[in-house]
Amino acid sequence: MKKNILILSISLAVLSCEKTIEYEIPDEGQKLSITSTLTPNGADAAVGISKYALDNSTSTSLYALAEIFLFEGQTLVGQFNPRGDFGYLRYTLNQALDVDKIYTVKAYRPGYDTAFGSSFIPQRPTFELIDVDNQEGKIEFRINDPLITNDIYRIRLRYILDTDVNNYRFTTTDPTLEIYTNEEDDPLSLGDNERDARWAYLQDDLFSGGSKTITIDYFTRFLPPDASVFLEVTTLSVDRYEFLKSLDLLGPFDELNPFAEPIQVYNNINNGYGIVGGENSQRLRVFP
Amino acid sequence: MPKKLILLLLLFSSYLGYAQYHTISGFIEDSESGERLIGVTVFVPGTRYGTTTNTYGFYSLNVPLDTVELQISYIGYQTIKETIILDKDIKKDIILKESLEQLTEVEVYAEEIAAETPQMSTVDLSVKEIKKIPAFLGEVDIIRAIQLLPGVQSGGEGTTGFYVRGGSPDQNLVLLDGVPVYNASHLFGFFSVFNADAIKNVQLTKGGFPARYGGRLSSVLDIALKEGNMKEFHGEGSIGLISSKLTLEGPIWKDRTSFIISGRRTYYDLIIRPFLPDDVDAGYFFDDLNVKINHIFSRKDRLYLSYYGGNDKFFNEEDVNSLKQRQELTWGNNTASLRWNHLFNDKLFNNLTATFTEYEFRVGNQTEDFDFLGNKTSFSQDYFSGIQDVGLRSDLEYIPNTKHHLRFGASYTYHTFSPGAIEFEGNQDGELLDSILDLSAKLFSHDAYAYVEDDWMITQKIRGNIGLHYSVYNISGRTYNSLQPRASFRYLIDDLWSVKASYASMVQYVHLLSNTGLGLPTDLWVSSTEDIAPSQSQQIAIGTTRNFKGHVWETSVEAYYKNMDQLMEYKEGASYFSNVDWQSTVETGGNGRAYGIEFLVRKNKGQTTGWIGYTLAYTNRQFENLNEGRRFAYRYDRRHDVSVVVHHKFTDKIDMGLTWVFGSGIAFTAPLGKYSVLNSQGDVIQEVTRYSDRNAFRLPPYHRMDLGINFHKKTRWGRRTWNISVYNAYNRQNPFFLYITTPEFGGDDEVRQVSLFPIIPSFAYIFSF
Repeated sequence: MKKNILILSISLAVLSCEKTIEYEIPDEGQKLSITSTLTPNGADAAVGISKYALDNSTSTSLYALAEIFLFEGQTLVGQFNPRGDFGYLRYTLNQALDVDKIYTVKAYRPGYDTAFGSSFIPQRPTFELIDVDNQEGKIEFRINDPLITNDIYRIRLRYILDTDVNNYRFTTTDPTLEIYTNEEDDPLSLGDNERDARWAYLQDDLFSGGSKTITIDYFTRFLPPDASVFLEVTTLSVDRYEFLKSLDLLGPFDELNPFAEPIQVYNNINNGYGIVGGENSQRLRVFP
Repeated sequence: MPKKLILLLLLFSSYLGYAQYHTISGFIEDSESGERLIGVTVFVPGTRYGTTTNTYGFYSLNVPLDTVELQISYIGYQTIKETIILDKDIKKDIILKESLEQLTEVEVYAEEIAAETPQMSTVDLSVKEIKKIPAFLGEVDIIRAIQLLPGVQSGGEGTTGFYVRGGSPDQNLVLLDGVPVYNASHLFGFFSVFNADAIKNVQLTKGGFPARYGGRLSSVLDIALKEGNMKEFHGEGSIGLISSKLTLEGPIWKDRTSFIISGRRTYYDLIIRPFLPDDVDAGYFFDDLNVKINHIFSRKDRLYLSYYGGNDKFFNEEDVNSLKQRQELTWGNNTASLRWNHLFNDKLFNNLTATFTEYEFRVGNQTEDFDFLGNKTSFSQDYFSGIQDVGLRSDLEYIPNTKHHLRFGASYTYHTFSPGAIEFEGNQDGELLDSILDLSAKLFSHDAYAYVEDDWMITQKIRGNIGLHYSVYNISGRTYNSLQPRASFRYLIDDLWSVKASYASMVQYVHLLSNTGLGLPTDLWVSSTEDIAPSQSQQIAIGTTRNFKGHVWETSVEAYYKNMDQLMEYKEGASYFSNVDWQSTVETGGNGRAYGIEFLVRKNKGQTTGWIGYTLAYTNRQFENLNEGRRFAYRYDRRHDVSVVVHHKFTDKIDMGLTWVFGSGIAFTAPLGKYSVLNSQGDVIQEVTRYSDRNAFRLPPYHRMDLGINFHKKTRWGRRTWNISVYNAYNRQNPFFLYITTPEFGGDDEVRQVSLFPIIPSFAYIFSF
């Protein structure tokens, strides 16, 4: 298919011509970007500096030095500390945080506007395994949803090998699961209404205050023999969900396609870019 | 109670007519071909008694006079004046002769009556007018001509998609002999599927829709095919740079049965074949075939059978060593209709139509491989999508008296939607494998409507067209109902000047999913479903028409406001070719607004004719999950749109045409900056682009001039014309799209503009006999 489109594009290109034009794209100036996640055990953050759309001379990498603070309302909760090179400069705040409270992350750097964003840590999810079939590669589990809040869940099947935690693809026929990471090239390998996923989201619109039973399938033969497999369910703040969803959509998006409507990565930072979001996870061991 | 009874009797009496009224009715046809003529004006000069022929050339006029001087006029034909004594109802079939002069008084009368109709936002274009417009690569195109009218905008460089009053292309109902055509484009939108040589008449309705039309929000493009010459055998054709066409017509049984057959094919694939390597065969072509047969059983009964088939095919085949690979993209329409005209009496006319239409898009990949023992392994994979309709419709016209012209009818269509399936076939070591996977399940729906409308002469100055359109749509157990009122009124200030206003409520049950807006074959026709509600629109329009200098100059101004609800669009980043059901890739429940004002100045008479159109327009959309819920400009929100069309006849042997178009740049979403975030796993840095609000920026404006000159000559066998055309005469590099790239030798990124067509001269040899 891609080859056909390529050949067609080349045919059109024979007729087409192109030139560099002066087109004024406004420069919003350099701003701080923040990626920060709040959890009950603390918070982490990374800071970068944005650049103009046409700028090739500067980097946006997340090594920016900044002072980062966490506030609850006007009250300072603590300052993040740089923790070293993880491929980026990681700032952490190792301090227990309360669920359902709104926290604000602020980043200061001389010469830049103070960037800040707020979010909350949702309630810890409660779920239980109902049935696990390691031979068939099938897991049935139930999420028990609290009545009041509008909860958003992320479901991941993960395995631990040595100390590395990895995601493991699964499939589902449950239409209520939101999946933006389906990549199966061979649709015939899937059954009717079956979708594959690296992870899936679930909103409690239809079962708020009740419970929801979900079944997922996975291929057992591709799992490393010594791996420990977990099912992880995470509750997400709305900001975090919107951000993750937009990143998922960005994954397969072809920025070179001039006719596709571009994907705006979700942003809740004032005077800057990025995300402050909250999440709360629980893991249950599937096997061994 | 007595008051109500009197009121009812009064109302009823207006339909019963009066004792002294008599009816003149009949068919009007061309003297040479016997073709029945659409829109011929039949009226009594000095009075307001008048009518026009319908799509089948039928008229019926009811007048309270003993003697009338009837005047029959039609563009390009000699006017007939005839005194008729009316002592009883009279059947009067009329034969019109073509006028030798290019433009005569005939047109003036036609315009005069056109100003009288309450119908607004409607433009009729004859094929003769369309053929005066400069050709593109030797091809005259009906939709390219439509794009030159105010309120109609093109999708972009070279495309034949059209946008009417802020609507999207799928909101246009394109009818060919009464049958919907789902994809009206060839070659990715550069040509329309309509072969001008086979077309009799084109009518575009942009608003104030009469109740007989339904199913789309923004426009109706009604194209009537020629019927075929009843008298003698004729032909016409052309040989162009990339395509040729031939049309033959004539009687099968003189004055009873006629046929017309018209074919067209491009030959780009044949031209490039000698230049391809031996192991490669690749190319592209499109073809069209129109066939129509009609038979007159009696004055009261006539049958029409028409067919259109058209295909585009792109193919690429490589044969390297033992491996043979072939890729194909094919898409096309098939439409057919069987129509039966029946005249019950002089006042009641019926047209019964059975219709079939289908559109299919298919992408195929085939691989054949032979091992060293000669065993063959083959594998093929086809992706296909499409839509198919079968239907039955009855349209009746009843003309009880001069004050009322009633139209009513009903229609039923059964839709089959195939929104995407993949078919696999394999053969390995003699073992056959085949499978079909429906990415989106086939959907079947029932689509029915009934309507009634009355063209009502309320007073000498006020005339209205009032109607109701009721539609029912059933899919997967869910039924949608809709009652759509329609009304348009005309107030005649004087013989040359009228003011018109209209209201139309429309509902659309089928939608086109497109993430390019270019009218590509990959666009997907889908249905409203139990979860996706049908789209709706309400449009109001007000306008005035004023003619000057004895109707030589015609001017009109129309303002409109259209509100659209339950619109559908692809989600951000979604694509037609994905492994998921289309329903999960769309945003629904959108709202759209479009408003603007259209100006037209048109010269109808003289050596030089043509028009200037200008539209000031605004259109936007709002979806809960797009652009963070904020209202944004529609991609084809073009603020200013100008078109100039000029035709000048130097002599009987030489004439030329010129068009110039200007349009504000289409909207796009621009990148503003870049920044980095941690990915969803929190371990990888991902640089992302910060974009502007959706469609907040504009491409540079579009403008272009086309020229065409024709040299005509009569020959022993008929007539020939050499046409020389120049597309984009001053070589404007119009923007097709912009992109950002890094220069070859480094430095900051730059904005590049891609343009499609430079100046393109072409010629064609046109003949008729």
